[in-house]
Parts: sequence; structure tokens; C-alpha cells
Amino acid sequence: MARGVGIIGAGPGVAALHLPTLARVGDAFRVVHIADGGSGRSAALAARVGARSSTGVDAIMADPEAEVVAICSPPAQHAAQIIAAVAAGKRAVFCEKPLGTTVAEAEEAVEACRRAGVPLIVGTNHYFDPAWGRAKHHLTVSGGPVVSISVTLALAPNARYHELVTELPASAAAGRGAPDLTRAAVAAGVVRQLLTGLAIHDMPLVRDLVPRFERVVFARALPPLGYAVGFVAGGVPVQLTTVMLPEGADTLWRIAVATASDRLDVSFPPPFVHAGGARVRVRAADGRDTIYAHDPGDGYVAEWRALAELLDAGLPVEYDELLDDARYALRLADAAAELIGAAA
Amino acid sequence: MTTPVRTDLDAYRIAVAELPESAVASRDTRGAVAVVPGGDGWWVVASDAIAAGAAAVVVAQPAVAPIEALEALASLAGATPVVVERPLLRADLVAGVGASIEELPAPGALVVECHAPARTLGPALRDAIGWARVLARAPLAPLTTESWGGRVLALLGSTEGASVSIVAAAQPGAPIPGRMRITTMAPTRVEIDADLETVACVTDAAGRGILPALFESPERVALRRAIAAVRAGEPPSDLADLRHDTALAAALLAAPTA
Repeated sequence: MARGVGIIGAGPGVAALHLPTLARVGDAFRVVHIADGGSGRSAALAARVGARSSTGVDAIMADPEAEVVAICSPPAQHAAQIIAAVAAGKRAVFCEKPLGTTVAEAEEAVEACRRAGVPLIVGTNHYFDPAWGRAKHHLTVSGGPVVSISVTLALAPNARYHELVTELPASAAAGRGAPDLTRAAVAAGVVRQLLTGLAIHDMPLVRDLVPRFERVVFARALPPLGYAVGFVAGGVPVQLTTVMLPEGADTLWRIAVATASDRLDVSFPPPFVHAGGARVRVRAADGRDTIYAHDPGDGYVAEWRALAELLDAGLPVEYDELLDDARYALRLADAAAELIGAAA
Repeated sequence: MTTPVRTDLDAYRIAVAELPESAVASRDTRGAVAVVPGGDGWWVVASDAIAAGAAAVVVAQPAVAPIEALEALASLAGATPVVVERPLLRADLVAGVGASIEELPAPGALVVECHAPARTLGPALRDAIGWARVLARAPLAPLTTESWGGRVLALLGSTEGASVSIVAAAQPGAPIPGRMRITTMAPTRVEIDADLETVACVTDAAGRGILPALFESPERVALRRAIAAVRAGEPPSDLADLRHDTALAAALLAAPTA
């Protein structure tokens, strides 16, 4: 029988991502409650799926039908809400990335889950993408050591993809003005926020390949909104470049891993859509150009399936891995922000 | 009218044969387009050709040259055209890409990935920087750069304000000339993906276009350009571009770690 899910958050991420995704795993989960933070948006969203709605977290925590809590609120609230869900006796927690905005927060939240034995999944959908498993297998069995990593994200407006998976009221899609990146404090804050909100999609994958973070070499905010960050991990150069563009080409979201012999590209589909997994292409030393078969499964569905497996099969939860992912991303974000601030 | 061409390279002899109305083989350097093999010390041979009265010089696939040597050559060449044949930065593809983007605003950010066997990482990085310069449509300068063990992380800035993020590394399995990809982060995205062949793509909201494949040999392209420069009396910017790209690549590869 499908388990009841209570969703904390009622923004576009819930409307365009989690509700359509949960509709794809209806055999395992059903939405029973949606709570907003005061916007009043939960009522309309809940009505669409026949769920209850509320404001704040108290009602959802007290709702016995909400066995699983999905935390899709602003990042600063994640850790406290994980702890509250554990205290309320919820059976499992799905938390959107990041786990917390500081290492201390993330540690506290993970330890709460570990002590209570509550399964926890963080919504790093790229890590759950079936293509990443294939890419990792290739990197493990051939290609030799990693010599560089590039993560390139040219992000088309989210509204373009929202329209493909839901119907949002016009007000929900309104954008915000561009920040003044010429002010170092603003630029540092923007880069930190983007690294913990966007780059974090790929940090578990990067950490998988180069787990020993060393130092940030450069960090810069890019207009209108983005960053260029270069860092070293395990002696390997890693560059992260992201720009959120106001129009134009569809999203390019690619992790390129160069090994001693190959270049492996993992190209993810745009956010929000369910267009299957990433595309994996390998240029090998012997001249072969290999494109792996495309998997129809995507990371958004896979992360919810992973949570169902944890609950159904009682599989051990990799709390330490979740924590190390959070530490890695937060350390990078702090070091990059510090470098930008120091350059002022 | 044919222009005499002085060369000992087979590929250029073939190019002369493929330009029967424009070029004719010659044993004399004076008044000819002199083709200089791009091995170590090519700048000395090129200087000798200019001193011997060459009408133009073509440098075939040049090795990395010292900046001082390039500056001395430029000074000596003066108005004598010097055409540089760079395998990963073909002039005809540069022209094709340039025509595709001339109406667009310059990108605010670019990403460069460059890999080559250790002994060719220098020229590969030089040519990757060349593509970044072409796509940024402005000269570049280093902002932050570190290099260690054949690996490079760098952030460059263009005079127009663009940021260029670069990762480069020695990769034993890469094709000998190198493998590179340069991506503009702009509403209309240009991507150059080059190794044994080069593919240039332009993507916008309407879709993705791939520039036509190039079937003319790079040697014929270089000779055509040299002959055209002689006839027009207008030296191309090849040597200045090579100097810009060489200086930056050298700075990146020599940058110490923090």
C-alpha cells in the first residue's frame, strides 16, 4: 500500500517537480498533506491531489497519515525540519538539497536520523540517475586515473520546463531582479548560495571521483547569475561553471571527466522534466566514440524509489556518506565565498 | 597569375598542385611564399626566409616558440605576411564560426577543457586559448592561475569583461595534437569540440546547427591565405594572435601553486 507523504513547501519546486514525480511512483507513495510557509499556496496544490493543506509545520508533523515527510522548504529550514520530523515519529524523510546551510546543522540533522533509525534521502537526483552508475562503472574498469573534471551548466529559464510538467499560476513563475555582483559581499553570498543550491546536484558525483577536497583556486560570480569556481581535490583540477540565462538555448548540464585515456561526458536532461537519464558518451584513447544506451529512468523518480526500497527492504542508510557529501559541498561553498570576499 | 611557393614539405607540394592557377613550385625563396616546417627553431628558419626576400611565410604546425623569438620575428617581418597553420585552430573554421556569431553579443563567460599528451600540452593549450580569444572576441589576460604536475586551473578575463575558466591536463591517451572543447555560456551557445577533427556547433532556442565539415586540406587553406595576403598587401594577424596565445599558455603552464 502506498505510504502517505506530507510535503513541506509549496513553491514551484513542489508543483513542477515533486507532485509530478510522485504521480509516477503512485504505487509506493501518495501525497496526503502539503504545508506552506505562509504563502497560502498549499491549499490549491493540495486540492489538485486530494490532500490536506496547512501553514507552518505543526499540522503536518501531527498528521498521522503523513508517514513520510518531504522537506522542500528554503534551505535554512531543512535541518530543523528534519529534526522535527524525527521527533514527530515520522517513518522516513526526503530532504531537498542541501541538508543544511552549515556543517553543524547537517551533522545535527543526520545524527537525529541515525539515532532514531529514520531513513533519510537527500534529493541529489543526478547521483540517483541510472546513467551515473553506468559512467562510474566505465571509470572503474577502464580509462585509468581521473586527470580533470569539468561541470558546465548553462541553465535556461526554469519556467520553460515548468510548463512541460505542470500548470503554474503566472505569479508563481515571476523572476527576481539580478543582484549587484560588483559588491563583493553580495557576490560572495550569491556564489555560496548557488554552490549549495545548484552545484550541489553534482557534488556527490564529484566527491565520488575525487573525495579529498584541498583548496579553491579561483571563484567569481558571473552575471547575470552564476559562478566560475576552480578547485583542487586529490590533486585533480575541477572547474565548475554555471550561468543562469534569461533566454536562448536549452539547458546544457554536463559533467566531463577526463581520465588518463578517455573523456567521458555525462549530459543530464534539463531540470524538472522526465526525459530519461543522462546521456553518456566516451571518447577513448583508441579513437572509439561510444554513446551508451539511453535509460528511460530518471534521477527524480529513482530517488523516490530509493526511499521506498529503504523502507520496504530495511536497507542500511548511508548516513556517513550523506554527511560527507554535505561537508564537501559546504566546505567548497565556504572557501569560494571567502576567496571572493578576500579579493574585495 | 601564379605565385611562386618554396617548400620541402610533401603536404605543401600537394597543396601547390591543388592551386594550379594560383601557385607554382619554386626553388628560390626570394619573391616566393616560403613554407617553414614548424619543428623546434622554426622561428629561425622563418627569419632566414624573410631575410632572403620571401614575399610571405607560411609556418606549418608550429611548435611552441619563445615569446622573445616571436616578437623578434614580428619586428623583422614588418609588412611581410606570416601565415600560421595551426591544426586545432584552422583559419577557415575560425572564419566560419566568426560569420555565425558576428551579429551576437560577446559571451559573458566561456569554459575551456584541454587535454593532450604531456609533450604536446603546450601547443594544445595555446590553440585552446586561441579559440577562447576568437569566441570572446577580445584579447585575454590571466586573473588567477595555478599549475602543477602537468595540470592547470585558470581564470582569464577578456578586455570586454568576459570570464574564461580553463582546465587543462596532460592526458597520455589523448590524440597527439590534443583534445579540446570550448563552450560559450550565452543564450546562443557556441561549442568547439576538437581533436582529430573539429566540430563547431551553434545552439539557440530554435535548435542546434553544426557548421559544415571542412574538406579542404589545412595546407591548401594556408597557402591560399598567404597568396591572397601577398596580392592584397595586407598581412594577416596570425603572428600577433600566435604571440598572444603562446604568452598566455606559457604563463598558465608555468604558474606555481599557491
